[in-house]
Amino acid sequence: MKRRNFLKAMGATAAGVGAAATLGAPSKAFARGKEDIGECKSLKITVLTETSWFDNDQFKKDIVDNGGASTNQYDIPWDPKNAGGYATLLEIEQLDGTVNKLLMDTGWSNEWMDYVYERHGIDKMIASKEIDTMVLTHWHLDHFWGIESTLKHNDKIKIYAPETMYPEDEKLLYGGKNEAKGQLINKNDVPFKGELVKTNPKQFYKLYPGVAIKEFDVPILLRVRGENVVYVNVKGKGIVTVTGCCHPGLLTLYSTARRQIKGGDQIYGCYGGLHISLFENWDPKMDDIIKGAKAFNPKKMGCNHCTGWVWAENAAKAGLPIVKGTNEYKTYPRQSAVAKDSNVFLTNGDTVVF
Amino acid sequence: MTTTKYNYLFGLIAFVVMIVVNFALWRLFFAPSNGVFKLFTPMYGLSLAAFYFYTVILVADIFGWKNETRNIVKGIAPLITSIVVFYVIYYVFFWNILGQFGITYFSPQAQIATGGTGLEIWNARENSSLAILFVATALIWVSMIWNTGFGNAPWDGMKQTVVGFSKFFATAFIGIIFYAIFFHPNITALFQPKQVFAGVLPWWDGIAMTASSFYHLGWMFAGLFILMFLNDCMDGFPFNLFRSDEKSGSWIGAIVALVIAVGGGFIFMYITEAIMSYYWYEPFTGGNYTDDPRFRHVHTAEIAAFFMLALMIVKVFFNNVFQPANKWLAAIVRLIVVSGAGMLIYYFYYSETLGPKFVDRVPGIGNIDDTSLCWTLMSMTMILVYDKFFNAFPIRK
Repeated sequence: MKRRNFLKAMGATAAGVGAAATLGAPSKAFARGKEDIGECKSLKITVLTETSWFDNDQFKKDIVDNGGASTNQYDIPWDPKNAGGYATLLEIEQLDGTVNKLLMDTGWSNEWMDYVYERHGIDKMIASKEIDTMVLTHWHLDHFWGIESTLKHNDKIKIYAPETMYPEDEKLLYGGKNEAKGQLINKNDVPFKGELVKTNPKQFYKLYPGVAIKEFDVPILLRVRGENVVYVNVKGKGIVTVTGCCHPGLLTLYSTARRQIKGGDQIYGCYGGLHISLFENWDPKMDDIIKGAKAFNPKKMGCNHCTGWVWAENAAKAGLPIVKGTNEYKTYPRQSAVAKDSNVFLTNGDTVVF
Repeated sequence: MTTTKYNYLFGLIAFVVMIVVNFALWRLFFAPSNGVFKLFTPMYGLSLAAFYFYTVILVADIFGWKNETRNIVKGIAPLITSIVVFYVIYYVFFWNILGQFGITYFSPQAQIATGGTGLEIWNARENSSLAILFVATALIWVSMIWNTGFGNAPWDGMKQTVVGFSKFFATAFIGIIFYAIFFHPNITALFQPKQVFAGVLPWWDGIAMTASSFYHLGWMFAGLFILMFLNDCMDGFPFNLFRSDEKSGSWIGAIVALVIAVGGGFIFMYITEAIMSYYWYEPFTGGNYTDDPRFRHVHTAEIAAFFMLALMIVKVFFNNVFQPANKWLAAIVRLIVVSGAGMLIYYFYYSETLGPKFVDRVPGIGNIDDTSLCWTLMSMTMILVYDKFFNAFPIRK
């Protein structure tokens, strides 16, 4: 090919590409059928504990000193004094007035979880089977390693957990202990004897009218995989997502609701860790989430845990309906070192009704 | 005139050895759970891999220090030089000179010293690493375009050191401008409050559906694959139209290389992201994992890097496999072979079983904290070192 011909051809190609670029976005993916999860009257959330650890810097140090974000959580000799936990009580009022109680997650430190359960009467609710089901959102230490605190009140409690469990998780669940570099990092002296429903992303697990679990098979830091999300459809208001850490991403949850849940076009709100600025750092991605969340037009956003105070403050400033917490958390024996007076987190002891 | 013969059996053996060395190096430096140094955090490891990749290009292609003999001892000096240069630029220049006395974000320690929100060692090091990754990307991109279009022009015939320094200063100057426009606004937006007097807010936000510079990483890496394919699988067409015995390149050649790198990059990105949208729906601003536009863009770069790795394997170890007389037929066959090999590596990396075991990763796709770029860049650098410094011994005769 001659040089002149080549340059002519290149000009024509550029024009063609320019024309093609104006044709619009590529083809959309297949639309799938929508799931009917029913409706409930209201959802009340009680923040039992959202302080998974108390000192962010120590938690990060434990991770960095042992290899970083993708290190196996069972290989890290965590500072036991820093352990707290994450757990939430969901009270779902049905259209006929009955109330179902559901426990989400079981925290990390048994000492901390025993205190939290006693403070809120969760121990008695589990023992009396007023709470007979627990949703384990994912297998992270701060959501699961406190399992003994739950099982000692009822070792047959029904558990929904992501199917992507590792042998160490199984060992702890069924009565065992794990060590990292010679240090005991967790233990459970009460073997689990109940039904374990291993959730997968192929289906919705309907618990009560208006309440369903959806598993998202996503890789997560510290070698964990998969997270359960509870979708609640509040009659006349819309979808509320209740999360442990929300690793799949809040907007992905909303988008999934729109695509896969009947009535999911109407987003009402969210509660839980949103896994945005876990370590109070910033990234343009966090601006993206604020912008994207506005597009879904949520009415009530309760957040805490791994959301990041800095993100919640910026989101509130940007006009997102962040529900403010109270100072109730100060009556707990320990507080997070990053807690601020802005109260943009729903913290320990707070409640919110959707 | 000398001709080069290839020994395909040696090529196969060398390829197997490369896999073993690759596994060992990954386990030594990067593997997040089972590694020795565990540098893949992920940006720290990725920036190290990217910057060393640039350093090899700098030594071999900018300064022209290649070993074209069958004496492998002659490869040791440029190899050690590249490692020293890499170390000095990365740790001494970026972390301790530029970062400490000029631009804070290049030094983790300087960031920590500010006491800013969220700036402890992990975040600070990841921030610095992201900045260095972007600098490396701009430098690699400009260097490859320069080499493709200009060659050694306008310094043809001069001493190699003169050519080397001239090309280095020219590519570094242009590279810094590209960095400032395409990447610097992302880095200045990493902090609270945003450093709006140091850098504009990311201007591509509306186009890319994200403020992240991964958008530019996507089309730039894609463009590099196109350039590499034309250079290595099509005998340098069309850039060879702008060369002569006296001139290894020209202004028009450089403009053509730039246009192809940009245009080809965007076409590649358009196609790959269309395929992603077909499988994962449309991305949306603020989405996570596969819904995240930022992931779609970086995944374009990852796919381009898989293809580049495949291309280098096919070329260096297997001499492009097929040598027909018709160059268009050769191009089509090589495109199919390279694309197929690239897809194989893709499936290997993201498989539920093999990939996670080999590279020590959690199965799944879409995790920004687990970009495949670190492994592919490390792999490509290994092959580059083997090709440029050790003349692919003993494959070529």
